[in-house]
Amino acid sequence: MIDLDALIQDAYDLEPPPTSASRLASLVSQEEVDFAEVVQLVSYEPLLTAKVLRVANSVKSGSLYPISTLDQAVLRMGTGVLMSLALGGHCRSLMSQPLKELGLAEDALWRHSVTTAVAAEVLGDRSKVRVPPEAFTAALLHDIGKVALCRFLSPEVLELLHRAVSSGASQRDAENEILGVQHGEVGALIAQHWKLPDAIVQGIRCHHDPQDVAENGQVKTLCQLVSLADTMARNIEGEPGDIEFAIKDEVEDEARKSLELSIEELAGCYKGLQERLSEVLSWFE
Amino acid sequence: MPITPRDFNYIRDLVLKGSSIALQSGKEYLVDTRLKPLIDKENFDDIGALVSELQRSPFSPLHVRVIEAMTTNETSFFRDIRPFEAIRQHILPEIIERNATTRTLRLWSAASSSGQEPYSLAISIREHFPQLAGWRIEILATDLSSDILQTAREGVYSQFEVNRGLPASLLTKYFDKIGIKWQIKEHIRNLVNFRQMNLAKPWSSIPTMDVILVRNVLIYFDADVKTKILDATRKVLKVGGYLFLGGAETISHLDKGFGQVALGNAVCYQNKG
Repeated sequence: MIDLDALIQDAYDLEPPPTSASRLASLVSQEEVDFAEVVQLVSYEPLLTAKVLRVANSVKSGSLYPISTLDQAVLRMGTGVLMSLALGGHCRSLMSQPLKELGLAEDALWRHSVTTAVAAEVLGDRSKVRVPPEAFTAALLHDIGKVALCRFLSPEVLELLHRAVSSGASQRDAENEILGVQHGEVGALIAQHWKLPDAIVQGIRCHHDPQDVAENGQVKTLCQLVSLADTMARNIEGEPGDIEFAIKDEVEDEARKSLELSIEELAGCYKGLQERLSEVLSWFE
Repeated sequence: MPITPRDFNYIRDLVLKGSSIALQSGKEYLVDTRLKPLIDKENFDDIGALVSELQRSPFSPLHVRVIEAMTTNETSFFRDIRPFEAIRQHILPEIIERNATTRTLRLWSAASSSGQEPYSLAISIREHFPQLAGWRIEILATDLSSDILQTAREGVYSQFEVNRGLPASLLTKYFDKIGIKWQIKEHIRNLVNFRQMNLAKPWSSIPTMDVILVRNVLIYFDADVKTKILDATRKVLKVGGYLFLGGAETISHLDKGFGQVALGNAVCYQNKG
């Protein structure tokens, strides 16, 4: 086991996002969103304003006429994407670094994160149940705990993790057995410390264990969606072209059913993900 | 240096004899991980030196500590919420009515690890049953590891641990923040009596219980030991009392004195007498 107090302190020391981004995330997560306040907050951030206008005029928005005002742009893109744009710039700098300890090259974790976020968006668009707007951001940040773990863990402990996974343990089980904590929990702790909305915190924490969310409801739906999106992202990574996929376990299948997606519709989500990915990656360039 | 096959076999046999818990091959990394703090604390050069010392001496406190280090279980507050809901919604109201004359309530968390399970019971009682204020409430919490029991008695948890299963409202109501940690309040700690106990060895002085939780521990025992533990459990469970096992644990070893009961989303076993 490792010194969890020291890990917590180290995770708290990760550079937080700008206060305005956390504030925006909190605003758009409220049950009744004060649209005027949201637009006003965005308008104070010139870089974010420019990005919002650019994304709102992107291909997927499908607008016949250019969108030139911020309130139109925010309406067009929705609060979920807006939240990610506000947090994404900061998180990209943290998550683009190579994590050699986990065999991740420069940008690999970030690309996986964006792929998961896009998968979450596509699943949410096609699902017949209401998906909370925080899903996109939760998916984008779901692996941020890995950044903190790689910063903190000694080469000796990382080697033990590597041995455990090589022995056939899942990454999650190996982390639990060796560290006493898994990267989802570390990520959730960071999101909590950054004062991000609880739905995002839960989505990060439970992305490997959505079945552990006690109560049915929107948070459980969000956790199941992030978990399924993570699986989709891993399935398409490094495999260009058509994806042959199969539901591999009960957790995935339960998530699919909760989202009221047929097997065929889920297959369609893979296609949608591949079509949309490059555009969303460009948002954060 | 990773553990050698010879040393792994020695540790595996020691843990099997001492706790009846079977370590599967492929878990060498787990032995390295769990014994590292002990190796550092006792100033052994490596795991080979520790095993040599264990082999040299008769059964000693060091052997016990190795067994304890290998058998600590993962746990969390309100782990798998269903049993706690069943206890709150169905079992406690029934027992309160049944024990109205004795005004005594006894629950046993038989593999309590770092204390989250018995404290979850205590929190649940205080949160939902104000009518038990004048009752004698005894929550017995036992575990194989005396180190982990000491941690449990202190009731101090990291942010990770309180994040697992504990709603924010209960955290602020029943815990005090101490630096970056959280300590469970004294009036909840006082409801729980922690005691070291090996379930696989003969039991002594366990009072008759209304509810017993033996969750996520039987999976480590072989069939004979499981049967013995469950037989002994029924002897200390009141007629009409309830037993909870872990979600992954089978009921094939239960004797016929237990009847399976579905309470809400939970499955438990009632002592039919």
